[in-house]
Amino acid sequence: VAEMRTMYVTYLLLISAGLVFFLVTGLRHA
Amino acid sequence: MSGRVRRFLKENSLSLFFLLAFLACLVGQAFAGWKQFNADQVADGLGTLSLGRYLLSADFSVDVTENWQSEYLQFLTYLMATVWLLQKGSPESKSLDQAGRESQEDQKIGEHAIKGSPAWARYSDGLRLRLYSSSLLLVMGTIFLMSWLIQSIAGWAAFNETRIGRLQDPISWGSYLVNADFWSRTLQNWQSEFLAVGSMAVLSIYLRQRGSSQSKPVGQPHESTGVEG
Repeated sequence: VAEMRTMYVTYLLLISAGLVFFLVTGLRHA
Repeated sequence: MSGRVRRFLKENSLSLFFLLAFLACLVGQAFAGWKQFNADQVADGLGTLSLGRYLLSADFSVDVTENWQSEYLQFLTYLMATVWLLQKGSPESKSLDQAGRESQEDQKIGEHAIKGSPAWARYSDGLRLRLYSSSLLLVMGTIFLMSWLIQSIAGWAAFNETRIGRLQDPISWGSYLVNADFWSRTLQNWQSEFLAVGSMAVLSIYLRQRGSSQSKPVGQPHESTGVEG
């Protein structure tokens, strides 16, 4: 169970980090 | 390699493969986008950017997020459409008598929960069951809306930087939302997603991929609906 959670959390963290990164870079130029 | 590591790699190989493919393509996109951006800058008589500065640019941001939003929209509409809509013969469709949200029993909800059922599936009613029953849709939908919002902001910034470079006035975010640049970027991605999803639903009626969870078994009749290998 812990190993399934590893991939689940990895994907959610990656997507969240990506969205925050692109939001900040977008807003910085806006 | 230890047995534990080998088992982890095997049991997560599908998500690990796509994770690595994503990262490799993102790196490739960054390099190609950077080269293309600088070539355009030179052609317009403007200065070039370092790779680091390009990664922080609105251009890179809009190019990534416009593709993200369309992919999440694809799965979002697929999740919703496959609840109610059918395709006879397709492994992507439910069987023809199952359209809709299905019974509590079919969905193993409340008193029909089984050993190992998620905690929130054990409620037979209420907010927690409702939330959990659509949790995949809610999360994919949130990622879609966030990506599309960020595409609009970064696209607006990139659009205005181009306009300023051409000594034109910048436009407001509201104006950008009805601008052809925003809808061209959006719809060019949407059209391809919907075509690909529709193709998968239809081609899989008659065609097979032996061993794939997304195909019917090779010997399965064409008429069989909702059977995956």
